[in-house]
Amino acid sequence: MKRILLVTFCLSAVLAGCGKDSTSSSSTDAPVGCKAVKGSAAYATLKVPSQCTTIQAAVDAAGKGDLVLVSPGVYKEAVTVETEDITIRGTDRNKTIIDGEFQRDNGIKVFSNGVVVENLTSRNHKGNGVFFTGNYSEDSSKNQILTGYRASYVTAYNNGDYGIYAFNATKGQFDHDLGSGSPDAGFYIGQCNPCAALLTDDISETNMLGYSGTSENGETLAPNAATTIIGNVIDDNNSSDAPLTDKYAIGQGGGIVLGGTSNNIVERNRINKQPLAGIILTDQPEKFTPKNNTVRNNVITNSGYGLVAAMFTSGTSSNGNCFEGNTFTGMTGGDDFPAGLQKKSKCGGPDFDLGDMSSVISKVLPTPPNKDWKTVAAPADQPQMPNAAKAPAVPARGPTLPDLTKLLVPSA
Amino acid sequence: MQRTVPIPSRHRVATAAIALLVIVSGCGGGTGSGADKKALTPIDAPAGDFVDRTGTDTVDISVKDNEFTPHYLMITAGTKVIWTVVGANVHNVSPVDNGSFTANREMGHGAMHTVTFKNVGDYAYFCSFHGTKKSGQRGGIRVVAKK
Repeated sequence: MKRILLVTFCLSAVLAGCGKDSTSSSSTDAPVGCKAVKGSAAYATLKVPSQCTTIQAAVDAAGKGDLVLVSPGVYKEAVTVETEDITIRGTDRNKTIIDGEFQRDNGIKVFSNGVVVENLTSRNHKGNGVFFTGNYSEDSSKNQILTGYRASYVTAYNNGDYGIYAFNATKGQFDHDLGSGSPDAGFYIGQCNPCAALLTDDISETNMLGYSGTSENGETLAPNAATTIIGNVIDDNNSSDAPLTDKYAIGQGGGIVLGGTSNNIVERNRINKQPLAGIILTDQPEKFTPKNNTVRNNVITNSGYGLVAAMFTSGTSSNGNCFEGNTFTGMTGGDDFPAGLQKKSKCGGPDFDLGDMSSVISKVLPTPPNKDWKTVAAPADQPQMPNAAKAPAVPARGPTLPDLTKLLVPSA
Repeated sequence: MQRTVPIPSRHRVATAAIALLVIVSGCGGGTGSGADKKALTPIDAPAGDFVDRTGTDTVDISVKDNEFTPHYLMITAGTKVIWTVVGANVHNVSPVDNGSFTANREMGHGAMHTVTFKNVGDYAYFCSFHGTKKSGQRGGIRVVAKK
C-alpha cells in the first residue's frame, strides 16, 4: 500500500512540475489527484500545482463552494469559471501570476454567481485581467445577470482592455486591488442597474483613465446605478507613463468617470495627476442623464480640473447630483467646471445649471502619450491578503458597506 | 468607458487600414463549409428566437459590448454574413465546432468579418474574449435550404 501511495505521489509530483510556466488550459489534462474531496470539511481545497497542474484543471474539478489554492508560479493560462461559488486564491499575491503572454484573452473570466478571486496577479492578456459577466442579452426577458462577485488583493497590469471588469453583474466588490497599464480604465463596472457594487482600498494608476462606470447605449440594464467608490487611490492615469487607445475623446486622463450613472457615491478617494480631471460626471449622449450621484470629501491634487460636471445632450440641470467637501490643490484648469460648481451643489440643495462638456475638452484634453500598454512598467509588489493559505473560502454574496464615518482618505 | 462619442479621424483611418488588411489577407472572406455535418452542434434555442433573414443575399450582425445582434439568425444557404464591431472592446467570432466556418481571432471597433454559408446546418459561435461555448457572448446561425 505504501508503495502504491509513493508511486502515486511521485507521479503526481512529476506531472505537477512545480507549477512553473504551466502552459495548458485544457480541462482534459487533469492529473492524478486533481479531484475535489471534501472529507469532513465544508468545502474541498484543490491545490495548484501539487494536485492539479493548471488553475483551469483545478477549476474544472472544483464543485460549488470549493477553494482553488494556487502556489507561487507563472501560470500561462486563460482561466474560465463556469461553476458557482468557487474561490480562486493565490498563496502569494505577487508571485502567483497568470500570464497571458499577450496572446490569450483574459486572465480569469467568470460566468457564474458567487465567485471570488483573491491574492494573485493577472498580467499581459489581450482582454482583461479579471472579468465577471452574466449571459447578456438586449432582450431583458433573456438577460441573465451574474449575482455576487468579488476580486480582492488582485493585481492586474498590462492587460489590453480593462484591469478588472464587471459587466452585466450585480452585488460585487473590488477591494485592495491594483489596476495599471490598461489602455482603458483600470477598473470598469457597467451594464448593471442596480450594480450594488463597492470599490474600496483599490489603486488605479498609469492607465488611460482610472475608473469608468457607465453604460453603452442600448444596454438592457443601463445606466450604471448604485455603485459606491470610497477610499481608493487614483493616480497618474494618462500620464507620460500611461498607455492609450484612440477610442475616446473623453475619459482619457480622467480619474473617476461617471457616464450616465445614477445613485453612485464617490467619497474619500485620493486622486492625483489626472490631466483632464479628477472626477468627471457626464451623460451618455442622447441616452442617459446622470442623476442623484454624490461626490463628497475627495482629495484631488495636481490635475487639470478637480471636478467636471457637464452634459453633451442632456440639458444643463444638475438633476440631483451633488458635490461637497472635495478639496483641490494644484489644478491647472480650475477647481471645478463650471466654475463654482461645488459652491452651488450642496447635497440636498436645489438643482442648478451645469455647463457644456465640449468646452472642457477643448481646454484641457492632454496630448496623448500613446505609450504601448504592453511596455508599461510593472507595479511594485502589493500587500498580501492576510492568512491567504488558511483563510476560509467564502462565496461572494454582495458587499458590506463600511462605516463612512470611520473611513479616512488614503494617505498620499 | 464605453464608446459614446464620434470616432476620431485617425481612428477611422486605422479602422479602414485594418479592414483593408483583413480583406487582403483573406481572413474576412471565409466560408461556412460544414464539411463534417455530423460534427455540427445543434443550436439550443427555441425556433422563435431565430430572426428570419431567409431569402436575403447579405445579412449583417452587430458585434456589441458584449452581444451579437441578432443573437440567433436563420438564413438561406449561400447567404453572406457580415459581422461588424460596433462596440468599444475587442471581439472575435469563434465557431463552437472548429472548422465549421472561417473564424476571426480578433477585431476592434469598426472591423468586419465576412463568411458565406454554403451548406445547411447549425453554426453556433462565440466571442472568446467575452464568452465560451456555453456562456456569455454567443450567437448562432441556422442555414436552411433554398426553397
